[in-house]
Amino acid sequence: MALPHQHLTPQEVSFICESELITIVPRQRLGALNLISIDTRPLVPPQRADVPLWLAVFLRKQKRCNIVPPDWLSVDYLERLVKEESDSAAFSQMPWRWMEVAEILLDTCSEDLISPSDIALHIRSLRELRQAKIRAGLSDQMNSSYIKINNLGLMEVCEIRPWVGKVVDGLRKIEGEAGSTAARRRREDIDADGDEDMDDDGY
Amino acid sequence: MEDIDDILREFDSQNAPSNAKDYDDLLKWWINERAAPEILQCQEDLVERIMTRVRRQIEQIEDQTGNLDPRANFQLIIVQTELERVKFLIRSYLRTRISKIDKHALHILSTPSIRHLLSPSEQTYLRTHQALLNELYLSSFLKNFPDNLKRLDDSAGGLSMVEEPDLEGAVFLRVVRDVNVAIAWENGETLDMRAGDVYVIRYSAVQEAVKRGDVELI
Repeated sequence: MALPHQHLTPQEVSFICESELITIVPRQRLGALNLISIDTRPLVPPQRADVPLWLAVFLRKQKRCNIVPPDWLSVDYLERLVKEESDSAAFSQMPWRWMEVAEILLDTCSEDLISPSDIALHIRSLRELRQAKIRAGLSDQMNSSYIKINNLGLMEVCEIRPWVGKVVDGLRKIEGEAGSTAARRRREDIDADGDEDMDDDGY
Repeated sequence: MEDIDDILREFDSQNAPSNAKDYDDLLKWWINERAAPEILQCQEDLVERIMTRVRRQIEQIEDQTGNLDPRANFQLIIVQTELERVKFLIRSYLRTRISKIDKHALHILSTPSIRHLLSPSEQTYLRTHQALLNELYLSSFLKNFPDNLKRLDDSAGGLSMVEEPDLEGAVFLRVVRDVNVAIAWENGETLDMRAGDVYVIRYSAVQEAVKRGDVELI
């Protein structure tokens, strides 16, 4: 394992997301499992059960269960959201991990979704609409004390983090310099002797 | 036979109702640690509790590896998959802390209040690693330097050699519980944060709120 990056990588964001619970319909019996993070109940088809997403994906890949997609991952709901998103200037309310969940589910169990290609299309338009809004909106509220970015999902936050973080830091430095120039000048006067010493030793 | 197992499992799960919470907590502190510029309190008890379970799980896997029953085998694969996920989490958590310890070694060593945030093994690591480094620097080049340039924690010229975490850096966070934070120290301006809000803000403004668990960094 390489040394951790400063910020979460997309892979790690999706790792976090895989700990979320999701509803499945098992196709096979499976005894109760004593896992470290959760104790699962016995799976008895066709009773629905909530399991972590990673386990659902694992079982789904082996065709041992079907995944019940969350309510918002349907064409009707997404169509409404896309309309809302393009009509209003604010971000519409999305589940915290909508992008990751949608990505994983479209990838592993598109057969469990109703018209997955339409869903994928709507997810993409949502994403593009929101990205455009992020770029337009953030420049208005850029300031060095705080920015409120409600309703952005975790993956979206991670996407904008590299540049937003830098811009906020940059603004702070500019403001800080204006305020502390006097203080620094005072400090430089005191250290002037030390500076000369350094130069002498350097040569 | 299976019935007894079920009863035993139920008994187990009653005894340890916090399994899911422990895991969620570790996930949360891992993300916090990744995002915070300074080193946070080491979640020693939490890591220890999870490590105990990891060890138990490994024993269980070793016990059952010879089992040829396909159903038991399949369960074992799930147990192993989960084990690897938890191991990744713990490793990444500890490595994040070690990379911070390396980065701010002298700062941590010289500040007792920060040193207490480290677990005993982390403190040992910090001291021995720093001693080795000092020895290496000394034997490879510092010994040839004039005395007044030998210090590694010099602050002459208005520049400190000791690297400190940038507490004013911007962090991203999500509010867990309603909280009021001071955003500008000079004029006492405060900001009401509501649960569920997402903010970009200076770390120093929310430092205490992170430690109390009112907000989580992302």
